[in-house]
Amino acid sequence: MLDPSEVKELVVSANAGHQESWNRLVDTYAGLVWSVVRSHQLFGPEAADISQTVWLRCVEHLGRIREPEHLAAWLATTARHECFRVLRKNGRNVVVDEVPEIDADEYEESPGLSAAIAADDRRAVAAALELVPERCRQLLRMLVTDPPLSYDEIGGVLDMPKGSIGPTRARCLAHLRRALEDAGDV
Amino acid sequence: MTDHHDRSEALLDALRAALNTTDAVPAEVVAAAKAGFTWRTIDAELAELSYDSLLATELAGTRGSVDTRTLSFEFGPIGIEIEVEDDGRSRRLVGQVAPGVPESIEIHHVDGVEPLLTVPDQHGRFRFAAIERGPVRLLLRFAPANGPAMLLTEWVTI
Repeated sequence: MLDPSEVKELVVSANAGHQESWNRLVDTYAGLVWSVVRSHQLFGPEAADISQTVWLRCVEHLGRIREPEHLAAWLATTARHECFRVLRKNGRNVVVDEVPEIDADEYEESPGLSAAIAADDRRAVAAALELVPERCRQLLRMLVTDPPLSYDEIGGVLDMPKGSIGPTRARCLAHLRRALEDAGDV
Repeated sequence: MTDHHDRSEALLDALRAALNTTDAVPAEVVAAAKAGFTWRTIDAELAELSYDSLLATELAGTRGSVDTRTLSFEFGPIGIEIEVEDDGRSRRLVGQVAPGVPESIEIHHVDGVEPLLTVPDQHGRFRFAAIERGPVRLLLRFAPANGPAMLLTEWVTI
């Protein structure tokens, strides 16, 4: 992870024409942009195009980025807007629904879940993510990005009040636990 | 509470590890982002996307109803309006620049080798046919009295 002064140096250096500085920015944030795209259930050529558009926008904005410390949030927000466009084009609306209520305390640590985590069963965990409500999938993805986003940044990217991120996070983790449990019972 | 907190963190850690394994950013996507640096253009002005019908309207109920998209770009007083018609196979762009008629307009496609070039009519109207899906931008060249020497639109995916 880069600290803010490093990000600033790389932005300035890339804007001066240094490809290697640009490459480091891409290496640092490509996964973040990808997380935003994938959190909207987009994949394949569409996902690749969105990522590419975000990075092309970043190239043309290099000289206009006044606050490089906000680059991560800028990339994530730009990616989300591009996702909106593609979803609309495909005839899908963007889900900003409330997350369905679930008793966050109801799901005590259970043998099946513990086993999945202990066994490092990554496919099971990734598959469970596909089963949670759409808004949860977006939030959970944003909570595990590399580099991590602050609650302020996540709130900005997802149009979610900062104060509701904590409670929604708890509810979404409960949904994820339930999905893991249900999958384990099959 | 602490136990609850630890369990939440453990589950998020498991999710992070899972996504790193099953859904990491593809190498070709990273390579494309790096290659995008070659589109850096230092001596052109940038016309910003100010309107996109895809973001502006509530979606009508029927799937596939969005087949003409309207885009507007602005740089100072200069406006560029574009309609993108998508017939499912390729895209056609019909547009107009005002005020000030550019001497030429190029369309850059991120996968294209040679940019297509057109000369707008006396009212600043122009069109491009048979454009592939993907990120594109326009490059407008103006005579000195009419506008900036080079004006680029922001990239948009069509």
